[in-house]
Amino acid sequence: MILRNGASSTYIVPTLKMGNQTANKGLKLVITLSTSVLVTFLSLNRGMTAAQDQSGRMFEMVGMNVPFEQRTGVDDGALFAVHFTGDTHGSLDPCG
Amino acid sequence: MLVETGNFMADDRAAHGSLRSDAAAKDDWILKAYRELGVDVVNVSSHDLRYFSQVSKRSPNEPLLKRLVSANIGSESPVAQTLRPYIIRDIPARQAKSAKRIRVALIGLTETDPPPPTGFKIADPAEAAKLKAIEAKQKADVVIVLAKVSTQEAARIAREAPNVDVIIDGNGETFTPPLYVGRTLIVFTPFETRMLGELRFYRNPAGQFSTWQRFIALDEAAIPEDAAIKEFVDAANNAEIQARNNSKGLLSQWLLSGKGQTRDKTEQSESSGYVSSAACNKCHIAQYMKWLNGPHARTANSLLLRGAEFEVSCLDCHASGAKADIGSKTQNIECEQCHGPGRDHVAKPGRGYGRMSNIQTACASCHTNETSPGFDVQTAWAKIKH
Repeated sequence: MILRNGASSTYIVPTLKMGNQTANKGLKLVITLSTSVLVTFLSLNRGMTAAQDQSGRMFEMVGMNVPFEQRTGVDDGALFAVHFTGDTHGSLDPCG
Repeated sequence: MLVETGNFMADDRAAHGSLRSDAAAKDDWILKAYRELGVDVVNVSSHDLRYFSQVSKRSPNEPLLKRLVSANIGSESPVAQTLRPYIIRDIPARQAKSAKRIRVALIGLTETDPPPPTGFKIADPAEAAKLKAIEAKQKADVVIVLAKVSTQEAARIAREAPNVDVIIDGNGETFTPPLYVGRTLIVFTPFETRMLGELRFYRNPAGQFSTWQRFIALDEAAIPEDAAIKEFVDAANNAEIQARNNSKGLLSQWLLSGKGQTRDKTEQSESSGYVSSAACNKCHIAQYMKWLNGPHARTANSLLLRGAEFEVSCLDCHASGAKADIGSKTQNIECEQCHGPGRDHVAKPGRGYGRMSNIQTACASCHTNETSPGFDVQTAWAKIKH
């Protein structure tokens, strides 16, 4: 059995310190993610609940304002970690 | 541990459903990348199956085959025998030496679309999960499902297979936050792996597990250029382009063999015993005209529209002549496709040549369920009877 996880939600998203173009991309990302989160919650079937505990934290999103080499985070004593990928095919095709 | 939930291979199909040669060339490099990256466990989705069915035949010792899982793909063919329903990974304890190792079972599941290649079947994923999770739970501390299914299907799997602790699902959506169905945690791979998913596991003094989910942005601008990786990617792109060019080149070679090189063509054809329908026309005019106005006289047309996926094997059913001899092939399906090489008959005309013992068998070699769905030999024969 896996206990439900907890603490408050952490979103690290691009800030306005970046150039205008990057900031715009960041804002788009925030809007996209907020919309997708909202849409998903609205469409959840009965019996599904968001993965959060009493304090409301669901997951951590490490965004583009964090230097790449720091995105893996710190060792917090976890027993092990699973990194996962999927639907990678789309990223391997040229766009446009 | 690095795992893949599936749909990572190119699955572009040729006209009759086989994997295109340029897609297969690209997939060879994707496979190489996954092998060299050391991906631990890979779920074979219905989108990846066609390629892996090829690999298992031509490279049965490919190391990545040992890391593939699927609990709901079945077949009598060798590839399905290499697909294990689950893999158990032993993870050493990080703290005291006396601490127990953690055993993690990873079960593979796929959606049922697109339909599998001939010879394979895909069972209901929830049913397969239910059966295999019971078994895996007896051998492992944590049971994880790697799935390529919709959000609703992932929820159904969680409901019907309560022994599953975590489902990692590629649902094809832009971003779906983690959620629980009962006690099963479901996390989703971000769209096209534009973020790397991370699931950390902890255990409290009572031995209960808990998790924490992180999603790490993989924006290209932040990732420094790596000369070795660039060389790898360039080589992969070149292989794909080369495969397409090879196809177009082969098609051109075949077309040229029938135009502007008539003399060579005739010599090659005669050496293989084929003389083309033009030779039949000299005596069998009515039959020749029937053929000329029928579909078999135009079987090359469809090849011209699909040059990038052309293979010599296309000519087995779009042209007549000796197998594997592109130079001797005619430009369409001609008289000798059914009646056999006519060189000797032309040299010494007489009865006995070209009688067909079984029309059904002759037609069925090309008109299969895959190439001609709904084909009926009697209806077809009525149209070309001569």
